[in-house]
Amino acid sequence: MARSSATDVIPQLQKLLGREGVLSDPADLVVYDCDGLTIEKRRPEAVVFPTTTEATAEVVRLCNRHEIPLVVRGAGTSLAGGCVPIGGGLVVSLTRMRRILEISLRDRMAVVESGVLNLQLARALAGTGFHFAPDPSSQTACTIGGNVATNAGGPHTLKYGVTVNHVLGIEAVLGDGTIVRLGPVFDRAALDLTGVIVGSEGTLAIVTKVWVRLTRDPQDYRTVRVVFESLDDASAAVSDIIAAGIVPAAMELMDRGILAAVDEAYHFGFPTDAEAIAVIELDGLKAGLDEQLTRVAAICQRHNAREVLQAATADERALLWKCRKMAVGAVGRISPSYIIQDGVVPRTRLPEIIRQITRISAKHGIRIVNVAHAGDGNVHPILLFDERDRDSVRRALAAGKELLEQCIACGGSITAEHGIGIEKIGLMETLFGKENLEVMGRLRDALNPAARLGLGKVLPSPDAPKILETVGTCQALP
Amino acid sequence: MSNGFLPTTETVHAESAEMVAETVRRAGSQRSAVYPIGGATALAFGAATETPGLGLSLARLNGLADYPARDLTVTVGAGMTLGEFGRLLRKENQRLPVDVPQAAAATIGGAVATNFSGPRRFRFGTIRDYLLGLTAVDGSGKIFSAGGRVVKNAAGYDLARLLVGSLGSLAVVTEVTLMVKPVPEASALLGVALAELRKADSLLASLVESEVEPVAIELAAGALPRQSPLRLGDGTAAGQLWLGFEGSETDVRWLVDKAAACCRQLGAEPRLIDGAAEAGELWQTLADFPAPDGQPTLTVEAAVLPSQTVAAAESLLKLDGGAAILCHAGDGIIVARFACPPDRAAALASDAREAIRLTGGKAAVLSAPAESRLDRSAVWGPATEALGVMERVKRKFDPQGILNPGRFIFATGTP
Ligand SMILES: Cc1cc2nc3c(=O)[nH]c(=O)nc-3n(C[C@H](O)[C@H](O)[C@H](O)COP(=O)(O)OP(=O)(O)OC[C@H]3O[C@@H](n4cnc5c(N)ncnc54)[C@H](O)[C@@H]3O)c2cc1C
Ligand SMILES: Cc1cc2nc3c(=O)[nH]c(=O)nc-3n(C[C@H](O)[C@H](O)[C@H](O)COP(=O)(O)OP(=O)(O)OC[C@H]3O[C@@H](n4cnc5c(N)ncnc54)[C@H](O)[C@@H]3O)c2cc1C
Repeated sequence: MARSSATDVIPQLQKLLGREGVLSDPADLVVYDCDGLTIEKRRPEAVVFPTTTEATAEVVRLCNRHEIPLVVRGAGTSLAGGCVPIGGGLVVSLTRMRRILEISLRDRMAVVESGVLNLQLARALAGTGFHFAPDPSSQTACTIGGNVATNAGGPHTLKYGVTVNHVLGIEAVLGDGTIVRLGPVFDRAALDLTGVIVGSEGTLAIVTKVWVRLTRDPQDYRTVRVVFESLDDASAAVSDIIAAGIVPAAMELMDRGILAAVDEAYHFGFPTDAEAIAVIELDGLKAGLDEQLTRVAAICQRHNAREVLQAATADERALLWKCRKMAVGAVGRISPSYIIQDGVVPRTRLPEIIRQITRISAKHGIRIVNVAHAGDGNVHPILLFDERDRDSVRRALAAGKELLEQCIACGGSITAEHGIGIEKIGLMETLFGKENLEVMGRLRDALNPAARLGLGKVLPSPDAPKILETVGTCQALP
Repeated sequence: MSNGFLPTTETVHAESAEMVAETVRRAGSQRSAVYPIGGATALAFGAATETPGLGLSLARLNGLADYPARDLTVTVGAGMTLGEFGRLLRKENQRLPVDVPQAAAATIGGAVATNFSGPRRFRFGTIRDYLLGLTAVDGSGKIFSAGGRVVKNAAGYDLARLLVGSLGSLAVVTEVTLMVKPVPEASALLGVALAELRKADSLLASLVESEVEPVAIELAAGALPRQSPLRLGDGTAAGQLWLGFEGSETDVRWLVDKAAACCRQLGAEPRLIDGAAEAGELWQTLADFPAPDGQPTLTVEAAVLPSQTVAAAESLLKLDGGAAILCHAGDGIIVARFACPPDRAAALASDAREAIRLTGGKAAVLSAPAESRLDRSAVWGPATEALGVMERVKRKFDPQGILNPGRFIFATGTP
């Protein structure tokens, strides 16, 4: 059967999901044009909202019969264009599967449907003494399913690891419509499919249910903001703290450019002349924290820290974290459009990549402000431009590309947590080479044989739908 | 016959990834099986196979490729032993906190292939949580690499994770990049003898409520060897619970005090082991529990929800009161050793699997006497619904089915 239009199968979809489970009125579809990456847009032919795993599987099978591409969508906070239906077809939204099914402290496990918000789970666990460790800055909006699909991290990844370290099992619909249930009990007689579906960005399977690991809340925190005279000093201090064998819960950096916007938005009162601020959090048993803090402060001082100030109250700690986590939200105040990049280098190369970012900014005439999960070597340069100005768009994309190429040159990678989506697909071959991509492709062939699920994402392919404007496809500047 | 477990006709000692690739290609053209061998400590693990083939030893691929210690990452050949690896890291006051039995002989490639872990799993997870990237050779002799050398990486599919626990049935691992951790300042273990196993449940439940977070929660039960350092009390105890703690001196002191108070509240007097030598020996005993002791033994590993650990251990003891059992109770992992003549292994394995199924878990055979020749279903249990898709993955990586044929869950692979 030849590829149908999703609009041809609306009656079947409605039969499966009810009228309220299908959107096809063009006016309703506008919001599904794009996600957190706003420069690449494409309208889906319809959006569906399954509420069970079985219904999700039925949708996938229907699409396979009619050769209709589909793209999964959680909250749509992807910064890699992972939710953009570049091949047209259906968007499968999981936002109506948002029940927390079970919390078992004795088993240190929660069972949630994929559309449960990260914050919703955090709230349900508040006061139990346990939490779900991955805490992306977008946690007020993003879904657990989205976290699983992108293997999301966050500030506290430094000590607690990324999403894959906290997933005990999943229920999922593979690209061929098969339902699999993996875990939560360890199964030696199996390949670790959970381990590969996590982070596969909706190109192997639609995850519908997740068994997550719960982590004990730390007894206490020491959260400090350290003011540095230069970004160079700050990144060198971070690298030294890691090398000294100290494992803080988080080590985040913000540079002067972003600090100004953040302070205007949230009124923390950062010194206006600070070149960089590190937010360092130590957590664990109360008894040992001050000792650790003394060591951290000494290292910072060796790198010319102007001051090391401890958050005095829980409220002050909360505000400090708000400033860091909502930093990106403040960027709108200083630029009409922006792209948040996501690169990663070995932690000792952090000072070097920060210097490169400054150089690239000047070379392309694109202002860049920085936040970073610095302890992991994960930089998030934010490129400021104006979407209405073609030349500005072009320069921003070229700068982003050069920056990621520098990450590769430093022995790093083109994404630490946001994923490839469609945004970085053009750089996959530079990073891995054709041969290794072929091997990756086998996994997709096995789980999602027609590659219809997540069409045109993650793995480059000559017959994939054209992507117009991303760092991977843009022309380099001379 | 190299060791009684594998029908190898000869063994090639690979000196490079290229040589591994060449060997696999040559075997492929002759449709001969290939059995990767690391330290040969876990060759009893896996179903018996009659298919003759080449042994492919990785032991000489044991070099250090890169150790940027300040990044806390390291890249080594798959044939490096865990003992050697540990010494290397120790110089930088770092370690890989995954416990593997017989570390002196077992290799890193073997640890990836078998996905074995021990007591510290509760706090530190398994090898998958440290594996950043690797190089391997698939069943057609193609060298590929996956992942990278940075601690956080979301680019593409994580094929390194796919190979963890695949028992060398998808690819031969030649080089591995791992994330490592600083060595903690202090370590201690606290043990309590339990008059009945059920007592462990109330103790573990009270730990959840308290602020005590051990790195290991070990429950030993059944017939432990008389001289085992795991034994406590006058020898009449039904079990002993060992809590392991690591961290700064201050942290460990606080944790031990608090945990001891918890135990006393429940009427159990704890024994503290905090001398470096004595604690070291105890950690070693816990980690080496599955290792062979020269007796014909059936070793079964079960996995249940953590809250079902005691019930599962009891149900295994009901099968054979003479079994020796060690549970990683925080993770619901139970290792049971049954003294067992070869001809009884299959029946006992099947009884154990059924007992575990009733507590909601899964069981696999870790090792059995060589002469028992357990087949796939005896070792791995009945096929699950996901086997079909796993078979598809297997065919993509090893189209001729020459890598460890018949040893893992796959039906494919009798050349
Ligand atoms: C301001 C801001 C800050 C951010 N900070 C962080 C951060 O600190 N750390 C971080 O890791 N990310 C961060 N992100 C990126 C993003 O929030 C994460 O990737 C998040 O995990 C996406 O969740 P979502 O529910 O929005 O998923 P979506 O954006 O809807 O989807 C993301 C990708 O996953 C797929 N997908 C979604 N749900 C499923 C499912 N159930 N099954 C299969 N595939 C699925 C989609 O197809 C898409 O490819 C940030 C984003 C923003 C806008
Ligand atoms: C289920 C199980 C049972 C165990 N039983 C025992 C036991 O009885 N006694 C004991 O001391 N320890 C046992 N162990 C632990 C074992 O020592 C470790 O898992 C160790 O890491 C194995 O390393 P090795 O180098 O000795 O592997 P080997 O014993 O040489 O090989 C083990 C398996 O891994 C494959 N393999 C080895 N290296 C590679 C490679 N580079 N690439 C691909 N495949 C490879 C082999 O083909 C073989 O199937 C067991 C582990 C497991 C998981």
